[in-house]
Amino acid sequence: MRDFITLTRRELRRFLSLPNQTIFPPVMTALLYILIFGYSLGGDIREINGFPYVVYILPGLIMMGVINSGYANSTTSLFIARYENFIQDLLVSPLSYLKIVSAYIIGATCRGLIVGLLTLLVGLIFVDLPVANPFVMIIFLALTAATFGSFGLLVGLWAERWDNIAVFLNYLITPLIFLGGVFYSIEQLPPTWRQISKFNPLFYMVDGYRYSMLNISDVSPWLSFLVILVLFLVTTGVAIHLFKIGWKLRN
Amino acid sequence: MNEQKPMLEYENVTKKYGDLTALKDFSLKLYPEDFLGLVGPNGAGKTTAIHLATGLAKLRTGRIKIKGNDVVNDYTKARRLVGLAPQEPNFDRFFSVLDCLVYQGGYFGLAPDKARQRALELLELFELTDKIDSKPPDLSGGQKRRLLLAKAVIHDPEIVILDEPTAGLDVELRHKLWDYLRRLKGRGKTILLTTHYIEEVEALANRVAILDEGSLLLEDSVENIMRRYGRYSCVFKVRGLKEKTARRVCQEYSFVNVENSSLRANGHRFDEEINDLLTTLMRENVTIKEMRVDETPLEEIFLNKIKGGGTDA
Repeated sequence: MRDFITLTRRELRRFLSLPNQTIFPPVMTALLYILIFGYSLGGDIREINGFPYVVYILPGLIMMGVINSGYANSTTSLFIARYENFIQDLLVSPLSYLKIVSAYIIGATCRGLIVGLLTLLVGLIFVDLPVANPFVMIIFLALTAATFGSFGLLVGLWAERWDNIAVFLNYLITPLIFLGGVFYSIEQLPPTWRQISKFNPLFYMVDGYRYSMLNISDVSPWLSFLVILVLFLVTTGVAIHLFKIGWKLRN
Repeated sequence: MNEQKPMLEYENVTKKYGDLTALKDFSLKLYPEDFLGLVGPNGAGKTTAIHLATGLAKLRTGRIKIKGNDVVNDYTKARRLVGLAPQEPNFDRFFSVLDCLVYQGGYFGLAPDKARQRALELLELFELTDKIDSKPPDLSGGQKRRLLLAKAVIHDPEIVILDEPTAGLDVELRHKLWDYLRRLKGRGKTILLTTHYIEEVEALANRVAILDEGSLLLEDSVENIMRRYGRYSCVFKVRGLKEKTARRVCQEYSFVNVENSSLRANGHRFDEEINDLLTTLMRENVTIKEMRVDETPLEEIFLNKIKGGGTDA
């Protein structure tokens, strides 16, 4: 297990040594949203499901940071290792593919959790925010970060340029986050759009996490949990398989 | 025939990159404590052979075993036994020189304390102690080469594979690394070295394999290769050589010519042929005033082989 612990420690140390790039920016972004919607625009928007607007959107803002951080962590770490060829350190080592993938995912999960919890702390300073189910909250945070850590590995393997990584973030993840109910309840949407939203996996992450904090949700939290779990298992399984066959790693 | 079990064994390995065949039906065995120099021109397949054994290239045809462990099916066991110094420096840019070594040791299962202690020893050995906190990209070319070697041996592997470890180094540093490699061999390690410097193979290796266009042209001990493919030219300046004796020597030893007061011998098997000739000359009371020997260097044999030439005695 020492090999696995070493790689996990390396992954943690990598992002912890660069907090101004890895930890604080998403917390800062969430803080700006809180200030704008809480103190500037918030008064003009009615309550949603009995909660002030800023309270309603905060779980979504937290999840946005968690998703971006989980994705960025494994994508960046793996892509740089490939780009600068020090991925060879792992490929020639006796580390199993399962251990390599797991260590990367743990790194991404920890970064996501730290960002999520810090954002929550900042939110608690400015907003009277309930945390209805702390245990469920941790589960949703960790599973979402792990899923995007795992998805980030797939992109980190596939990408040939930095631009490729940005494509996924800018044209897929960010739109899906914004359309996943961060700023509204899908119950407010017309029926067609409501149905379309249910095909957006990120909706379940935001909705499940909102349930853990506010005890309200558009769909069953069990369904949300199941969707995220299946996504996690599929992306992780594919990542392990790609490492095993050496896709874009070995000639 | 070697009775020992091979440490590294290639069995009918073929490797293609698209239409290019990098290795063709390649078979080779390295036994414990072998120091094998794998030489060949650029694109011969040397690095491919190394990458296939260490997990950096996909093995599709043939088998490679490391101490009996298949490099595909038992890769975790196989890789634990090998240390690789690749051709191109590749270091984890996020961490210091010391951390790079400690992490590398950890990937091979060393406990953090042990890895750190071993890293410090190696940094001292390779004269990098003052660079302990530097980032690898800030090192000079020679320092990077030494760090690569330290990374390769951090876990004290039984097999060390070195892909052109002295490329681009100055003579002094090259000789320092040679000394280290000799010490490694002295500690019973099995070593596979690829290089463009034939003198490096002559100085270090006990076996040589010549690879060209993916095919193994020749593989044997340095001694046997010199005996089989090498030629010598030996000139004796003599006193007391009678005409009758000279004629008899020329008849008896077809590889000898007499020119004035000199004898010139050209042959393949220096030890046997010259010993016999000297015995005869001494019996005939011929005094040898001077003797000069020129031997074909290994480099010439290498060049002959890759040009498709060379004489097989």
